Formats: sequence, C-alpha cells, structure tokens
Amino acid sequence: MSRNASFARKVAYIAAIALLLLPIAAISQPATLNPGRAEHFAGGKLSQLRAQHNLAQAELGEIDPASETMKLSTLGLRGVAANILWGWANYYKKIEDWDKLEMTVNQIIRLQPNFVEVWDFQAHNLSYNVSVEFDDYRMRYQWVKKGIDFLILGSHYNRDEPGILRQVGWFVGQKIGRADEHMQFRRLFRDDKDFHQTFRDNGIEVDNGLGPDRKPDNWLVSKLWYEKAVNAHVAYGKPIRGTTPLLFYSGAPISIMNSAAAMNKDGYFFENAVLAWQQAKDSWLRYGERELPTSVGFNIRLNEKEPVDQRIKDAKEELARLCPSAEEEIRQDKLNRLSAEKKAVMQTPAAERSSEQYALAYEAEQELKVLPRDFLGRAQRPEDRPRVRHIVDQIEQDETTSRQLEINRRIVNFEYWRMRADSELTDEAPQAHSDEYEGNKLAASGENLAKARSLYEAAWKLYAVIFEKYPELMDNAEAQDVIDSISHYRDVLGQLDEPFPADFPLWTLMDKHYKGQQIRDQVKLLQGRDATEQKKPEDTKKDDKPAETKPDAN
Amino acid sequence: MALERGIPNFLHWLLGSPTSSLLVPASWGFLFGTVAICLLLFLIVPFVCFVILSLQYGPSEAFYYVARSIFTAVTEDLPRFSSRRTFAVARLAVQEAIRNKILVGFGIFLLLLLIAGMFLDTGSRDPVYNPARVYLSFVLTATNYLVLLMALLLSAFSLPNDVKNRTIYTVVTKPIRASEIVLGRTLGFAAVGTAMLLAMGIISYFFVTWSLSHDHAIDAASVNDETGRNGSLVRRYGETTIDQHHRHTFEVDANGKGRTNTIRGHWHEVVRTEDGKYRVGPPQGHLIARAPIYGQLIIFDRDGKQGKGINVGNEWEYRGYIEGGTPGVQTKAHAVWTFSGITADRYKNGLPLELNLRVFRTFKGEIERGVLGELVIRNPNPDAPVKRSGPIVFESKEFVADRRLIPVELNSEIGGAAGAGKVDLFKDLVDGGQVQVELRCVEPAQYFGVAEPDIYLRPGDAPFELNFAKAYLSIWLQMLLVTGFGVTFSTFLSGPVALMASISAIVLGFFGQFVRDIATGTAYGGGPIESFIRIITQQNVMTDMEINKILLTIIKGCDGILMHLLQAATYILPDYTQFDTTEFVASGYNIFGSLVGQQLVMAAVYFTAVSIAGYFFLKTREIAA
Repeated sequence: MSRNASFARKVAYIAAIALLLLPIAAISQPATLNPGRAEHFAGGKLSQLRAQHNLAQAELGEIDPASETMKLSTLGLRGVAANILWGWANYYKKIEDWDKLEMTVNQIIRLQPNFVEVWDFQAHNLSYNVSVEFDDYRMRYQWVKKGIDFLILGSHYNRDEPGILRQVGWFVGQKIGRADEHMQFRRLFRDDKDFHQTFRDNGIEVDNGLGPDRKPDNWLVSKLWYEKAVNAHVAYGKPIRGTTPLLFYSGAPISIMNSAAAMNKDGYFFENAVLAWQQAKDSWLRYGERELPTSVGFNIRLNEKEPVDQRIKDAKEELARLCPSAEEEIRQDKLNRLSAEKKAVMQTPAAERSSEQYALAYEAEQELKVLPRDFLGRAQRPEDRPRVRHIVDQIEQDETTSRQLEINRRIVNFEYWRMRADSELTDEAPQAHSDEYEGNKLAASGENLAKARSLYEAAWKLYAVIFEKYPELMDNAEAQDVIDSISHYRDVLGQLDEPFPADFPLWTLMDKHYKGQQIRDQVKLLQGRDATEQKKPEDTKKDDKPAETKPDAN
Repeated sequence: MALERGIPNFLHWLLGSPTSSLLVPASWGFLFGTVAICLLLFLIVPFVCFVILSLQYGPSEAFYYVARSIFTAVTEDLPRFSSRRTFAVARLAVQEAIRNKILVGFGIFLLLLLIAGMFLDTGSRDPVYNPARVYLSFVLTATNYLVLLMALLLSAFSLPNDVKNRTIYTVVTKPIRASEIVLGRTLGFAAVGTAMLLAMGIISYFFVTWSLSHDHAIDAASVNDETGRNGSLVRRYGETTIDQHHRHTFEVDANGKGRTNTIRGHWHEVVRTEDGKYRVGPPQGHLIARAPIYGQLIIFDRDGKQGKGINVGNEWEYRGYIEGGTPGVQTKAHAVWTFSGITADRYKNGLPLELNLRVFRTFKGEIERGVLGELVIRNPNPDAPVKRSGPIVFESKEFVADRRLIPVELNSEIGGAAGAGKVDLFKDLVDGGQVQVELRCVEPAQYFGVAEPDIYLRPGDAPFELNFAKAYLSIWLQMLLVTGFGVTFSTFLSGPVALMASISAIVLGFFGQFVRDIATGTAYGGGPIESFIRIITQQNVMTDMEINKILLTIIKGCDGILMHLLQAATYILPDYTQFDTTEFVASGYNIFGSLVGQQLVMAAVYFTAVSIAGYFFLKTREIAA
C-alpha cells in the first residue's frame, strides 16, 4: 500500500476518534457536588440518569474508599470474587472460625454494599445462626449485637432504606426481647452504655426509650428504629421492601405492647405498667386509624371493622323491611333449583354422609346462601327498587371491606392486642399480676409458702374476673404464663400438703392449654375426679333449694 | 486452633504408620513414597525419552543418547561441578532480578501495609475477637502471595528471555555445565527472594506490633473500693476508657498492683501510684506462641466402649461429643487423654492444663452458668494401688482457652502418698512418665465436644518472635520450591508456557485435596468437562446432567481420565498446604518442630528432584534451535 493511502487512513482514524470523543464526553460528564446550590451541574446523560433513578453512590449512601477500591481491583470479576467470599464465609462458619467469618462478611459487603439482601442475610446469620453456637449467654449477646451493628453499617451505605431500618428494629426488639435468654439479654442491653452510644451516633436518641428503671428498654428502643423506618418511607418516599405496609407500620405499636408486657415480667405493676399499657392502647388505636392498602386494590383502616359490620347489619335490616319475606322466597327458589342429588344429600343427617356427600352438601349450602344481589327486583313497592339496588351495592362493598379487615386484623392479631390493652387497664389486672409475681418469687425461694399460696389465690380470683370480661384472652399463647404460675401454685400446695381446690376459678383457662390439661389430669389422678369438677351455678342452686313440704291434708 | 490433619509426628510422617500396607499408598510414609516415585520416574522417564528419540533417530541412536546423558551426568557433570561458577551465575541472576525492577513487588507490599487499615476492619466489639489474628493473617498471607508471585515471574521468564535475546550463547559457550546454570539461577533468584522476605518480615513485625499498640486510661467515675469486714481496703475495681473499640475492667489490690481482664486476646498491667493516679501498661498476651504438649485421646461412649463420640448434627466432624450424666449411673461416656513425659522436675507446681471444649445443650438448663464437667487424674497402670484422684468439678467455657492448674496434691476418696483423702500427682498417679486426664460432663442431656488437640499441657510458651520467624521460613521454603519449578520449566518451555506450568503446579499443590475429592467422587460436580457444561447450562451440582446418555458416558469417561491424571500429579507435586503455618502464628500456637522438619525434608527432596530434572532438560535441549 502507498504511503499516501496509509497516511490518509491514519488521519481518518484520528478524526473519527476525535469526533467520537464529543458524544462520549457529553454522555459521561460527571456531576459536580453540592446538589441544590446554584452552581451544581447535573452532568452528562449517564449522570442524570443515575441521579434520576437513585443509582449514584452519593445518593445511595456513604462512599467508602475501601469498598470502591475493592470493587475496582476485582477488574470486572466482582461477582466471582463475591461468590468465592460467600463460599469462604460458609466454610468458616462450618469450622467455627468466627473471627474469619466476620472478616469475610465484612469483605463481602464491601463488594456488594448496595445489595440490600446481603446485609439482611448476613446480619440474620450473625445474630440468629452464629450467636446460638455459643454456650455463654454473654457471648450470644455479643453476636446478636454484631448483627445489629452490621445492619446499622448497612444503613450508612443505603441511606434511609426502610427495610434495613425496620430490620434493626426487629433485631433490637424481637431477638433481644423474645430469645430464650431474653431476661439476660434485656438486662445486658439496659447496661450496655457503649451500644447506646452507637444508637445515639446513628440518630436514635435512646433516652426517648427509657424503661421504668430509667435505663433504655430494648422494646422502646426498637420502637424508635421502627419510627425511623416509617419516617424514611413517608418523608423520603423510599419504598417499603420485603414486607407489606400492614406489617411495616405495626412494628412500633407492637413494640410498645411488648414493652408493657415485659414490664409485668420484670416486676413493674401499677403506675408504670398502667401508663405503659395506656400508651400501648393509644398507639394501637392510632395504628388502627392508619390507611393501609390491601391486595385487592382498596385501602382500609383496621379500626373500621365494627362500623362496617354495623352498616352491613343495618342495611340488611332495611333490606328485609323493604323486601318483606323475600329472604324465605329466595331460599325456597334456590332449594327448588337444587338438583335431586343435592336435595337428597341435604336431607341426610350430617353424621351419616360420606365424603362425597360432604362435598355435595357443601356445594349445596353455597348455592342455598341468600346473597344481597338476590334481593334485586324483590322490593315490595316499585318505587323502592332504586333504594334496594343502592343498599345491595353498599352491602356487597361493605362485605368485601369487612372480609379484608378480618384477614388483615388476623395477620397482626389486632383484636387480641386491643383487648389485651383494655384488660390490662382494668382495676383487677395490676393487682393480679403483682400477686402472681410475688407468689412466684416466694415459691421459687421456698420462703413463706403459706403467703405464696394466699397471694396466688388472690391472683386467681382477679384473673377469673378479667377472663370473664375478656374470655378470648384465655385462648392466646400469652396466657401460658398464667398456666406456668398455676403449676408453681400446685407445687406450693404439694409442699404444704394441701389439696388442689375443687373450686379453682381458672379451670376453663386450664382446659384451653395442653399444660393446663396435664395439671388437671394429674390432680384428677391424685385427688379423684371430684377434685376437678367445677360445680355449675345451677347445681349449687338446686342444692340450696329447700326441701318441698307436703301440702296439708286439709 | 483446630488441627484437622492431627498432631504431626515426624517419624510417623517420614516412615509411615506401623500398620501401613503396600496396597494403601497414603499410609506409606514420605520416605517410602519418595523412593517409590523416584524409582518409578527413573524407570519411566528414560524409557519415554527413549521411545520419543527412537521415532526421530532410531532405537540404537536413541539408546546411545539416553545412556550417554545419564552416564555423563554421573561421571562428568557431578564430579566436576563448580560452586564458583554456580555462584557467578547466581550473582548474575541477582543483578538481572534487580534490573527487572523486582523491587516493585516490595513497593506493592509497602503500599498494601499502608492501606491495610482500610480493609482490615478490626472494629469488632466482641471481647473474644482477637485483632492480632487479623493482622498476623494479613501480613503473612500478603507476604506469601507476593513472594510466590515474584518468584514465579522471575524464574519462569529468565532462561526463555535469555534464549530469545540470544544472550544465552554468552553463557553456554563458556565452560559451564547445565547443572551450574540451573542451580545458579535458582540460587540467585532464591537469594533475591530471601532478601525481600527478610525485609518484609521485619517490616511486618513492626507493623503488627505498632498496629496493636494502644493505651487506655482509667475511667475515674467507674472506680469503686471494696472493703473487708474490718473496713480495710481489699481491692479497687473499675473500667478503663475506650481505645481501639474496646475497654477493660480492672482490679488492683490494696498495694495498688493489678491488671485488667482479657479482652480481644490481651490484658494490661494497672498500677495505682501514690498520688492516687492510675497507670495502665501496654497490651500484653496477644502476641504469644503457646507450646502445647498434646496427649492421645480415646473417647468412650455411654456404654463404656471406645468410639468416635456422638455427632450432634454438625456438618464438621472434627469433634466427637460425649454425653453428660451421673458417671457410671446415667452414662459411662467420657474422654481420656494420655500424656507422656510427666516428671516432677518438669511440672513442679502441677499440671498446667488448658481446655478448649465445645458444649452442646439439648435443653437450656441454667442459662447463667456454664455446663458443669469434671476432670479426674488417672494412673495409666491398671494395677496401680491408687488408680484415680477425686473429681475436679469445673464450669465449662467455650471458645476461650480455659487454663486450669492441676495441683500436685489432689483429693481422693481412698488417699495415697499425700495422706488420708489426698493423693500425690507424681507419686501415686504418674506411671512411667505417663498420666491420664479423664473428662466427663456431669449434667444430664448436655454434651461436651472434644478433639485430641482440645486439651493439652501448657508448661510454657515459645518466644513469639521465633515463631514468627518460623512462619517466614515456611514461606521461604515455598519460594524456593516455586523458584525451582519455575527454572526447571523454563529450561524447556517458553516464558509464558513456563509461567502457566508453574502456576498449574502451584494450584495443584494448594488444591490437591480438592482435586482428589473430585477424582474419587467425594466432591460433587464432576470433572472439568462436566462442570463446564453445568456452568454454561446453569445446572447445579446435585442433579443429574440433562443430556443424552451416550454423550454423558463419553464425558464422564474423558473426565475420569483427566481427573486421574491430575490426581496422580497431586501426589507427585509438592503439597503447598503443608507449608502453610499462618494459622499457627495467628492463633498463637508454636509451630511444631516436627512440622518444620517435615517442611525442610519435603523442600529438600523436591528441590533436589526439580534441579536434577532441570539439569537434564537443559542438557538435552538444543539451545540454538
């Protein structure tokens, strides 16, 4: 090839390179710092897109030189390096090399700082999986703290990420407050000044979460973290990740509930506990007022189930008034339209039905249900038909709302906690808890068993009053604590050589729990069947009736 | 520190176990294995050379060539080997290395140390976390990798570059032998590596000690006095300030002398001066080299039969677990260690035991207290008049070295040389220099996890600096081997190919066990072809391959051949994991003399073998071609 042609080609290449540099520079110009100030420059297209989708490291969180260096030094093999490190982390966990596990996990998050699930996973790994490998509860506590520290570090790299903040709240609340070693963990947490300082350094004022002993309570501090998470979502518009809004917003109020419940276990009753339960109740009511989206496309407020159900009831009554005897007619029509097979099954007693007949019977029952829509066109007066239509639409809408409320309430045990807060604010509750607590203490120490017995018996009477007002409380697992105390009461009676009282006021409670049933069976075995038979009021009245006198012959 | 390979015994390693079988090569011992491999190679290699040369020159010429090579090696080259010429070549190699800017590697090392703080996150608040381990692991690993990389690059490219640049003619035209060239180059590069290693070692030592140094002050608000019944001061206690993410509690006696607790592997001396101020000394106890005396362990199950111990569900089967309960009533499970070399002169104050147990609870029990165990000191002689001491009850601790001094005078039900109710450790329980330590868990439904190295005697510690130097010796031996292999490969391969071959030798050396697991089917995933297919089709290693059965058979067959070849190579190439002593130094354990002996013997044997191979390769190569 000639020299001229070669030269011309070189010139053309250089020119093309120079021309290409222009769009490249335009696309990849970096943004200047200090956004919001007049001289801020948004940069090229790539920079603008990063800012728009919150992908730039500065928007996401702290820029860590170590993390950036490690990412660059892997030369595009970041995924491979992270994969290898994950394998090493699992290996170190297997051979119980905790120092190296911790170091490896720290290297992993430097390579993947904005992969939020990595923070979630490894924090959970440290606090839940690794902590239980230690026998000493103090060591377990250290590793629970490590997981929490890890999440807090993750919140630096992922600023205002509600999921991470919520997880911190969960770990501080549930892991410390519900573990088998919760008493020890809570005690350590209260005195852990360095850990409190870590929270303060991260915007959580632990002095706003003090317990009755004027030291930070883990539940109340977890509430602060939940509130920070809510604030991140509400104020900064960050999406809720990894959970539904129903559960997301329930964190703080549940923490207050748990804090109040924990106070009783720690031996605080009366003013402190009553105040705590009042705050819990208020917070639960506020939670119930919050508008929450459902999976079917509309929003609900958990507090509004009762008004909705009342509306349905009133609407049905009005419907019955506007369409008298329509319900019976509709039912009869539907019965007539049933197939002969289904009619025959409906007439068969339930106990004698086969499994296929049960299925048929169920289908028949569904077909026989009188729906609001069936009332359309059955108004007694023609001018009432628009009204009937309106009522039917309203009932259907309300029933859908009521179903969603029922489902969502059950998820967060809404009614139980509301009832629990109400029951704890009765006059009987603080005294009942106090008597039970003191009775347990005396029983454990073995001193003054007679006093323990009388305290227990006073507590049972008060609990009986509470459970009569709020019988659903007996079904809940929280009532298990009372069963445990009844077990101690039985042991005290055993040591005092006294029988278990036949008129024990909490037999109904005991029948609802396995351990209670066991105690009842044991008492029955030792003392005879009569010892566990609770006399009914009618039986008592019968016995009290005076004997009939014979009429005079005259 | 877990010793998964067991406690090394030099003679056992060298000569094999007494029960070794010719049919089980793994039990042969290094000496026998080396001899066998050398004999095999001595037979196979000349034969292979003969076959190859026969194809080129015909059988008689080939035979003459091979025989002459061997003959001249023994009769001419060996007796006329000149160390003067060898050192001259070595000096040239050093100059070449410096000219090739080998000091860049040293610069990289210094840079790594400077920015180590960014990567070494030692902010853990865990009181048992030991930052010394982090720093020591880092400096040793960084040094190891850098030195090996440098040795690799230097050795693999030296001879090929000389051949390419034709400067080799200035060497081979001199009256110099191939052996002197090979050995000279190797020694020259090794000398450069040695100098760099020495410098790195010294800098690393000061880096570690500087990084770990810190001081605390006493938090005056936390100091409390404890007085006795008569009102006199018994002790003072309190907390220190925070430094390096931790604080200590401390106590001083009435004389004002005391120490802090052990946090993060170290403690400080605390002195209260006359003016009421406190002085906290530098950290101590974190740079140590325990010199444990190990015993032999036998585990007995709940029926009293020998066994491996129970697996409580751990994937890692390093430890066996013994069941707890009332001894002899609920369970007969126990573990016994037999220690030798027990004399009154050596253990004047008693037996300094250190325990590293694991605990497994089947129910929570007493959360505030550790699971209780008991130690019994036994006489190994079943006919001894005093067979055992009374139980020494202790509360178990996990993940910390629990030091217990077994006193010379022990309680016993029957009594012994020490009087009624007492026995003398050395007079009653030591027999022929041996004594047994029996461990039991006394709490029902709880378990102790034990392995042989978990209980040992710790009469004293070795100097940390010496242990640190031994770790660098291990790295030096690795460097020597890598240099030898690099030079040998470079005698007949081009630079890049020699580099690849050396890297392959290193990789096979480090991952030999993994290769053997793949070859024998212990590890899942198949050989290279199968795993490549699994990667690109994103199939996991546990499921069957979703391809045609005939194709699968062919793939598995090819993989089988490849893996068995690789497996054979792993037995021939040096096992570099045997040279890894980082964990010893980082965990604070003295590197066993037997392990150092093993490494020295291995390095000497492999170095000699590769040097001889390199000599033959260079000798038979046509330089001008």
